[in-house]
Amino acid sequence: MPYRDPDPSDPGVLVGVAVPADPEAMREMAWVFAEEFARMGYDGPRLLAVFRAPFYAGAHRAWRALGEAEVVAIVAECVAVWRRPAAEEG
Amino acid sequence: MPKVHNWQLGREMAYPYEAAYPEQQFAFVFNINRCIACQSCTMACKSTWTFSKGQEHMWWANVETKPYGGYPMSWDVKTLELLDRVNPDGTTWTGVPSADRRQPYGRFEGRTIFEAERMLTPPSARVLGYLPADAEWNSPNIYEDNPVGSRGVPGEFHKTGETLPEHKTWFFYLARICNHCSYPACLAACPRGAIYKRPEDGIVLIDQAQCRGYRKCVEACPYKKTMYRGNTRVSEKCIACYPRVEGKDPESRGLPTETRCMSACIGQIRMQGLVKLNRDGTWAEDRQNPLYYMVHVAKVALPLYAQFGTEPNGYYIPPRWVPRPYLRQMFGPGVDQAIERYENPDRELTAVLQLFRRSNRIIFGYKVVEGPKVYEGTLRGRKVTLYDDTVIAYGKDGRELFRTTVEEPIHVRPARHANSI
Repeated sequence: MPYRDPDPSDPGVLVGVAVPADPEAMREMAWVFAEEFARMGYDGPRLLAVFRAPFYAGAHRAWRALGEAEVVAIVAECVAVWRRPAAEEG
Repeated sequence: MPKVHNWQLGREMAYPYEAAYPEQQFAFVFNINRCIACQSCTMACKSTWTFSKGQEHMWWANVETKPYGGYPMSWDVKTLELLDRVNPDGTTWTGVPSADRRQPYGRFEGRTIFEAERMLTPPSARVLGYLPADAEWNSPNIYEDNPVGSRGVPGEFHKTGETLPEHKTWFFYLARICNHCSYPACLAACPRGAIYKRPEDGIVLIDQAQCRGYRKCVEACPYKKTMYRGNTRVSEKCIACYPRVEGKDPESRGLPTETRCMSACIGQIRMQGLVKLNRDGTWAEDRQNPLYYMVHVAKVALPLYAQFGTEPNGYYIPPRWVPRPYLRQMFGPGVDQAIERYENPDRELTAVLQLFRRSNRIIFGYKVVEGPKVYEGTLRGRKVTLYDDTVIAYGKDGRELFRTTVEEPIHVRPARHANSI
């Protein structure tokens, strides 16, 4: 990010452009995060921690928009399907 | 101008040279659903090939945030605008995705970058393109979702990143390297014939002794993956880590090995290989090659901006959450089918997806050994049955590279060795 104010004569300056977004996209993103991480071996608590952590902006925004209860339900369903053996230490 | 068959477009296409195809083609599949933009690929490439003076602006491998990001800035938007101008009545795809390997996505009705004669300046030019300004190369990932610092405090990131403005819409990360196209625009545009496609693996290289730095390749490549180096006054590009692909890199121990960017991928989104070609340039049937399977059987992986006309050899499993019109523009008419199959993987696809990044050796074949049923239930209302199958990967010599299972155990590093690499 630049530290100075944008110079309108700069050809590289950011121009905001609206892109179409389905209102359901947030819910879809939450399902994708949950399913992809579950497929990679995340268990329920680890997955839920991703949603709760503000540093994972996309997942956290879905968590804020959908609420804890819905995210817990999504995570539970994905983990149930793509369940993995318990993590092994070492 | 000679005519060549572009199977991704499902039709004959004008190209400045007669068709000539390698025995095998360097190709790769990236699963965008799993990319977290950690930039490990970017840095693996940078630290291997472009760390020298004069290469500061070069990122042969990069990851950009879509829809806003791009390296160089707005590369795809600008090329799409040029295509719009040369196709004032718009472009369409006719037909439907089918099993025909000469026309798997239907037929593209529109002009490619090689068919834009009336827009080319000077008229002797061969390919429609544009030359990015220096400023467009200089700031990869500018304005994207990267950590930033406070105004006027260089060298220090925000300590409370969560308070920064956030994207209010969908986005995804697009990892890119040179596509080592079957009809390279860079090769077509070079007035000195300095660019060539290797007959053994289809890797596209610039002969540094022949290049005089005219930058016609930089202008022509629609993916903007050839770059000019000011201090040597010649152009450079991704070389597909060819010593590794040849098995001559010390790490390879004689076996064809995937590139540095692939090997470094911690998100396990990447698989690279070599596919056999027919004499007409279409992919030869090689049912047990995982790339062939994903592109031509499961059809979950699609070419990036096939409408440019270069027949790129990079394929992407499209991100599931992104609005379909955007994805259809980027990956073509096969998007809906690809996402449907990826969301509801059958037994074989579930196993093949486990092959990603279990080894750095190039996989030439695989076999699935059926295992027990481990789950039956529903996911989002649809029936799901999961089997703990074993998938075995084979190398060039036919020997087993590794085997893994669908229910693969995960190992968590103990805290005292959490970062001991």
